[in-house]
Amino acid sequence: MEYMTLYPKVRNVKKGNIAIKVMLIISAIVAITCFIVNLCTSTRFWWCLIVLAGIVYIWVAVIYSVHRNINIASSVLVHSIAISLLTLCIDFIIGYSGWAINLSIPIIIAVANITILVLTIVSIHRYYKYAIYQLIIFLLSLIPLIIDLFSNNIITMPIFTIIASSIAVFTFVFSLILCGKSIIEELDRRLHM
Amino acid sequence: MAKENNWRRLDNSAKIFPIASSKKYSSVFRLSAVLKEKIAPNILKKAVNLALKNLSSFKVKLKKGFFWYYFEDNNKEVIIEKEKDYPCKYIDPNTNNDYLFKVTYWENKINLDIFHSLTDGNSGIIFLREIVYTYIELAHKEDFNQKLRTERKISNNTEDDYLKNYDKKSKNSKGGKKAYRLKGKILPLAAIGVIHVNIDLDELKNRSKEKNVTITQYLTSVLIHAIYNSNYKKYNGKKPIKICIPVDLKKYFKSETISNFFSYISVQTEENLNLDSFEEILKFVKKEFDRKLTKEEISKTMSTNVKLGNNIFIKSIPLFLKLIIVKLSYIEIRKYTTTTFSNVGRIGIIGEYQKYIDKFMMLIAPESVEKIKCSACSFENKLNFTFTSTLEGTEVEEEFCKKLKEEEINISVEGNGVHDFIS
Repeated sequence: MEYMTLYPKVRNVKKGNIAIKVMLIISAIVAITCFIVNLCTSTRFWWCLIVLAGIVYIWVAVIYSVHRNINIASSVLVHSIAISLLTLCIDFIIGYSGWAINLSIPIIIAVANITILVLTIVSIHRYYKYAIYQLIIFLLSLIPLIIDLFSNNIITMPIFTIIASSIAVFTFVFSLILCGKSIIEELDRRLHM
Repeated sequence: MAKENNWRRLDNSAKIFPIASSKKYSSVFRLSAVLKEKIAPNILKKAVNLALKNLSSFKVKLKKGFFWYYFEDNNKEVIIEKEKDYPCKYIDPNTNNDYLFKVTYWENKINLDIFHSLTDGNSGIIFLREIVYTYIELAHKEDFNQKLRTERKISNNTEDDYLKNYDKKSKNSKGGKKAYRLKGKILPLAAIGVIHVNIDLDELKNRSKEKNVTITQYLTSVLIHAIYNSNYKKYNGKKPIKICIPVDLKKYFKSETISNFFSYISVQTEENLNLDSFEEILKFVKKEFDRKLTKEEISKTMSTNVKLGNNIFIKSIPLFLKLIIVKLSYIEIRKYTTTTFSNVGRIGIIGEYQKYIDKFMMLIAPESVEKIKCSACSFENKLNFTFTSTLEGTEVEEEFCKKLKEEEINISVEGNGVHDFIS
């Protein structure tokens, strides 16, 4: 068969990011080394699980960041969830004392909501891009408050939770006043059937 | 910068593609125009941007909703690149400024790879034609005046004409048997082999007329004959050979939409059909086309699909669950087709522009189940029949060419060299 130069010769090189592969190997080595050291020194306190949780968090952050064109509000949402889970894990590993749910998660909630508020103010014309993420962050922010309302044992210092939830309500109401139409439009497009 | 928050729903056919697609199943087709001159990338970029002003429905990105995907306006810059990969590869929005089409060039050729959610082959041609017209105008300013450009009327209607035309009361069309799947060693490293068969259109028309069949019926028969002789017999096939033929619904229903508006018919060989006889195959294919290519039958298939997409239960399944269900079931659905043959017909070009164009080509992405896909389009006195394949061997393609030569039809063959390098 006679071929013309209609197509380029494709170089059959398997694509793959070397940096990611190297990081994967390093992660595995660190995790295994910590596990072995932990096993050889003491099995009373499984500190290697903290390292493992940290590695998982780093990977969540890396995988999410590798995707280009990520909406900044979605990044705030993903990191808020990931850090909250990480702090909860650490709290459980070092013998649960409740600092994660009492203190760190309310701080994370407050920071996430304030970040979204700042984003709304500085780029109000692009707010429709953040609307759905703010709504999810707002709903998730209410979870500790709901837990506190229905259970007396889990949150022992509710003041931080109340402050964080108040910030969440304030920022959401503020955005609603400022960009209520955008939120309704965003819900219309995201929830269309 | 223009406000970037207009959105629109996906049409009924478009809904399935983002849910079912992956790197292995790209749902991408390619339309190429080969000019008689080397492509200048800077002119091509200007041409694409100008074409997009007339066809803004292509200037969109795909967004995830809770129940379905949707399109949103995209104001990012369009990326124009030199061709360096296999055709019809998965278009990663993250590396393509979120666009669902990709424009590449190579020597004299302009490629337009389109994700099927955006539109079908027939409307894709409108976009390619607009790019080509604008490119020629920009490259040969002295030969064209403003009048020609402004006179071109292009519809940018994105209405879902499936919803407008489907019959709520129509009975559901019946599903057939599982089809014979082409067998053979797969090309390494996700390569796609391309073989273009340039067929003399006058000779093909004459031969089809002699046999009292249409060009599509004739080529479908040659394809069944080639599959039977080169693959089916060799691997002792038991299941029927089933060719899926996409149908342009604009021929049957009034429509000006630039979105998807196609359906399909299936030509399925029967047990009592003598596949050794080409004449028998021709008669059978003609009978199948006559039976299935009627407005009633097409409406039945279209309505079955629209009703499925409109089913309140399916609508209310969250997207993340749809993704799992459809991905699993789509592998099964595709087992009901041996191959697809899409003939978009003649590509009409305004007289003044014809002298700059050599030919047009259409390619469809092959995948793990349908290892070979076929497409055709014609320009001037040539019909370009294209095989895209993931198979290492080229027996089907060779048998196809052999049959055309036996039928005394003049052909020439071109390709992307994948099969050449391997053998």
